[in-house]
Amino acid sequence: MTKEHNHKIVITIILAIIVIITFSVYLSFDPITNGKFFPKCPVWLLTGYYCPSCGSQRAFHALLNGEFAHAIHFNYFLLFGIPFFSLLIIAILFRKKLPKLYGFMCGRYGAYTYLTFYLTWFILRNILHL
Amino acid sequence: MVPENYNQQGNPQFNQPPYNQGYNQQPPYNQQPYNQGYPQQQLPPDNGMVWAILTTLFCCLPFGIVAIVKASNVNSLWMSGNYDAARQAAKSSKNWSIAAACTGLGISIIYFILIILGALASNF
Repeated sequence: MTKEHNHKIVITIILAIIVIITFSVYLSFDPITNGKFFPKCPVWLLTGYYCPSCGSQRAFHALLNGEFAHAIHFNYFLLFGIPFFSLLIIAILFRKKLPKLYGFMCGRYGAYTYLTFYLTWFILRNILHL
Repeated sequence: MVPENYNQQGNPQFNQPPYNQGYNQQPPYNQQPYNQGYPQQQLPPDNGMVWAILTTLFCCLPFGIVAIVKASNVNSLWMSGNYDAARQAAKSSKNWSIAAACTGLGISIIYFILIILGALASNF
């Protein structure tokens, strides 16, 4: 039992607790009715425009309560963002086995792909009021 | 009469020969610098990409975008052998992610405080 080993166990436990608490909070409380307790999007607060992640908390709540259609309606970007992020995690975990995937996701192409989708959706979202 | 180990100004000087005598092999720290050796190539650079994307998505837009761009350079710099520049890019990407998170958090907290103050004020 080295010090780093204990360190990792403690961090994992703390992360697990945080995840469990987050899931329970979003499962039971609706950000729409309890709006004042949930953090607000800084971009929306400052500019009034919807950033691509606006609505993600409501979407998460709806998803945990099984309302899939509402979840998608609150935030469409997550349909791209969650698969992209999962692919990123996979690329990092399987870095040795899939070096090309890692090179794409963590390199310039992955970053610019993400940024292109992100910024385009930012503009589209506010024009189309989605 | 100046002692043997002191030069004319009286400053102490160590004769070169006695130091090298008696050492048949070079001291370990005279080998090739560690960061040019084989082991370093196997250490992967820190990956700031995850944090960069998370903070851009959930916290603050401008700083997060800078963090993403810097994180994207880490891998190509590492592959081209620029180990120090890669580490530097990873470190600065992490710093920008932290800045993004703090900015986003700060704005939310300020907003929360303003709401509380507003609620208190309207009660008078």
